[in-house]
Amino acid sequence: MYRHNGEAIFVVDEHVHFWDASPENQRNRYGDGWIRCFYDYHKALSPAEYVWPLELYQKYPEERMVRDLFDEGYVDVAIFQPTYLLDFYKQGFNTLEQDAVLKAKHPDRFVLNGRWDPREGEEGLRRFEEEVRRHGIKGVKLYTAEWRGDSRGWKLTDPMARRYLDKCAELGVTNIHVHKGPTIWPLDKDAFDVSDVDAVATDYLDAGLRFIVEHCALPRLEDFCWIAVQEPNVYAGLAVVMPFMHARPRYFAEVLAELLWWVGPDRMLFASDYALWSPKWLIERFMAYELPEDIKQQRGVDLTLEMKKKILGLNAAKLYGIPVPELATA
Amino acid sequence: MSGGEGVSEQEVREALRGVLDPELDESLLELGFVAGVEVEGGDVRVALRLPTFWCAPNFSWLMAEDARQAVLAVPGVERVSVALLDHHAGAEISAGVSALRSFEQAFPGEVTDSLEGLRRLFRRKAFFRRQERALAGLPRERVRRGLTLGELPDAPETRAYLAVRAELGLDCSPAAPALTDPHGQEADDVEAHLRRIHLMRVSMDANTVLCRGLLEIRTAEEAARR
Repeated sequence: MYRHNGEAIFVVDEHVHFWDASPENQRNRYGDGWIRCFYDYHKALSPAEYVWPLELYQKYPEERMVRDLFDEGYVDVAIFQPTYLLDFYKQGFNTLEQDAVLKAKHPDRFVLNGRWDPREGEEGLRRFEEEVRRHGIKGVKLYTAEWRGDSRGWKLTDPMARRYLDKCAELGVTNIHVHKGPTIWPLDKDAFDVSDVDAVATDYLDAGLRFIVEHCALPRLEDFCWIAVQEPNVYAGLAVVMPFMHARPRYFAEVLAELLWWVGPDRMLFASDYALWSPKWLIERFMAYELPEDIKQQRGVDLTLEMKKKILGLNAAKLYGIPVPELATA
Repeated sequence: MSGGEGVSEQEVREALRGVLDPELDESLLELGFVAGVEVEGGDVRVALRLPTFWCAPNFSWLMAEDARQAVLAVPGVERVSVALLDHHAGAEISAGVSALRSFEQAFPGEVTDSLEGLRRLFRRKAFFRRQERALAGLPRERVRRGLTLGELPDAPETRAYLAVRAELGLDCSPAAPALTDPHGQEADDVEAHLRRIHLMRVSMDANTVLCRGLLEIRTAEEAARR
């Protein structure tokens, strides 16, 4: 737990990866392009002392991850979000199986999330159900822009995607993390379009599904905020938003103020997106962070200690039923 | 045949200054996306490098195509080819734009519509961002009472807003209301309108902030490699 002026802060990092993007695992130039793009984000937004060499960034040992998250990074519980990308990486970029190895060694520190892809059809549906039962999965990470053969992506509103969402509701997999990224099919439409989240959030509200939109749909923040205002089961995952604190502090304040106004502090979730960024500096700086006075005034919002506690851990703990030590609950 | 005599690299770059990233509403040249210009008689080769390997192919196409057309409009230019460097679909886009193919032809089966709808959507977003910026320096109380275009300060932000209004065919006279939607309809709830355009400006800035940061990294690496 992080300590701040005598207060105990319970930290849930709702988005971490254990990936293998080593040259040996890259299937083609897209695999190389993928990790280089991540690495550019890492370098563009990290403080200099937290920038890794590319070789380490491509593939890091599990000891390093455990150290960065738990020993040095103040994280109490981290949620694994798999990203398969089998068209780019021979054994996948970051699979459930890779994550499960670490989960087995640190059962109280990791939450294991699954994934599905409607293009895998009936067989995928059966496999998903089997994985949920085997691992006790409560959440999934969906990557709608993933390439698969000739397909360049899919939508949450596709009929087969609805079958998978029905299955999630049936099995109690209630936390649906959605990542939007470029190159979704068809190519003439806005690649970051989040309107499908709007539709399924309404349709699956009564079924108890919650939709955590990763990186708040940046760069489509306005579309995301309007959806979140209308849909009580839509949440903001703060991966990518957090590191602006260092590289673009004024801009971070502007985004945070908008999220606090439109979405509210009960539906914002801290994430490092490790190994994109390291939780240690994000948490230290966020706890020391105050919104600039002029932005507080103009936007009519504040960022209190109570809100920080919710954002850093209490909100995610509630979604996942993670027990919070009593001294950190207030 | 008018010879290509006299076309200078500078003229080509100036033409590219007028080409906007449709998503960011900023000049390709000022964003640093122009990686190279070569002129040989009436033949011009333009190289573009965007901030990431994964920049969306549709916007990338629009920029490459707009760049080709802008350069072709320079007197003396006869042929233009555009190369999109270090991009996942760079080969298809470079070849398609340079050979005057359409987006649909370059990506058969992956496109259901032309790119015009997408372009219009982002012009509307640019309209709101420019309006927000034109209002940004004014006292809030003054803005809340409603403003005409003539009451906006004489500033680059105001000129940029007027330019996009003219482009969209809206009333640009001094008596026209300043707080409108992209169809010229005046905002009835000014407070809600201001909240909304502020959010849109912050959202669009995310792109600019990310793109500039990422491109700096890419350019530095490219320089180090040479």
